[in-house]
Amino acid sequence: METEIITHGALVISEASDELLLNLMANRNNDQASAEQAFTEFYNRHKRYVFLTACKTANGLFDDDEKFDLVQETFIRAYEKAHTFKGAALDDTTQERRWARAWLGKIANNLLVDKMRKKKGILLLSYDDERVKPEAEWNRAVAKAPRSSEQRLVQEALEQLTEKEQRILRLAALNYSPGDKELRIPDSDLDELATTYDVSKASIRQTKKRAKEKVRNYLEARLQ
Amino acid sequence: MNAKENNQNVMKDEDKGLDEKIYRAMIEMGWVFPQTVEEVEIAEERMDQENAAPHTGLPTAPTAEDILKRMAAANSGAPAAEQTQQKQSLLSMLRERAKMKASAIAECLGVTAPFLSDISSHSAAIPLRIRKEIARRATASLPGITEQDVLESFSHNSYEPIAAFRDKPFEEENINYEKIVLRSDMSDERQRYWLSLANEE
Repeated sequence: METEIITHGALVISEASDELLLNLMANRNNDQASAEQAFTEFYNRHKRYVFLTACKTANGLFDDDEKFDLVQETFIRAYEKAHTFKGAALDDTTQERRWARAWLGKIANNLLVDKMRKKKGILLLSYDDERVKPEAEWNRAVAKAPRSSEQRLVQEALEQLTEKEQRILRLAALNYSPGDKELRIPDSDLDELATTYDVSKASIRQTKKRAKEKVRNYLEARLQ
Repeated sequence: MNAKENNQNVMKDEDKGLDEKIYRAMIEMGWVFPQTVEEVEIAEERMDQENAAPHTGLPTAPTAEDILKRMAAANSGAPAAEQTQQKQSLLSMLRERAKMKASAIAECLGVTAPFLSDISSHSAAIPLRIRKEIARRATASLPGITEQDVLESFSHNSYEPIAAFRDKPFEEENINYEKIVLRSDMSDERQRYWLSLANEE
């Protein structure tokens, strides 16, 4: 078993809830040893999930070293911001674990967006480099896609987009939180993209709009 | 509300619906970090389906102790980021300074991308004469690079514990310069050139 059982007074760290572990981390100024034990348990409990998620999410954007750093920085930020975690008082341990992972996901997502902003050129391919899928190819893809659930169709449609369109929608999605009005790219990112690639902000917005229209058309063609 | 406003509201609602579908699809595709319990559940199911081994495609993960050490180092006034900056591999340095892709850099240097990647990753195995030649070519053909930059970056093997603050290096393969040249995808003639150049020392 990967997680070592560490006894802490009457408390068995390995059996502690994520909320309790984060409380111990938040109390690090008073009890550093317990905070570090709690961090070790929390890390071992969630590292596989965070590593695999980060590998998938950052794939094509960052190299392995950078993915490693993203994961480590996520846990470091979790340790430093442990006091901001709000438990959900869930009875089900599986749901409680997912609640903590959702919180880690928010941290990781913010770090990823920060890293993308710092790493110029990662947000988009050069406009000159874009390999636009010819309309005919697009239509063939629409025609041969198998009928499946709507969500699967959205995924298929996304896979058919050009890399530039995918990246623009991806950037918007990284800045999206469930319940937001729309998928939008922050003005600061639009400014940087426009400067970096010497295009207008309108052009980038247009690319996003075109990408969404392609997805919509794909869905309509398949769901009719 | 007139008909025009009504239509606009309908379009906005449809757009929002589409945005949510796109976002959800990206969660399922793993393009965005799951941020709700439901999204985490989707991600966990996907991982189970893929039956992925831990840390697929990556070297061994650091331990919690590694990370605690990193935090301690940062708090003691030795920021890990600065340490990382100082230990940049050749390829990372060239990409950052020249703002070009590895393949484009390799072309400017008159080598192949695998060769460039290998000499960057296994810099300890690279003879001095080769380092100097790469430095000369980089200075001549890439913007913002000096020979000193290149020669210094050769002293930072990317298999050393760099960005991720590893205590143990990745497992080093048994490699030498000749092997690097032979697997470089260069023509026979160019391979002979790069091998003979090493012997000029």
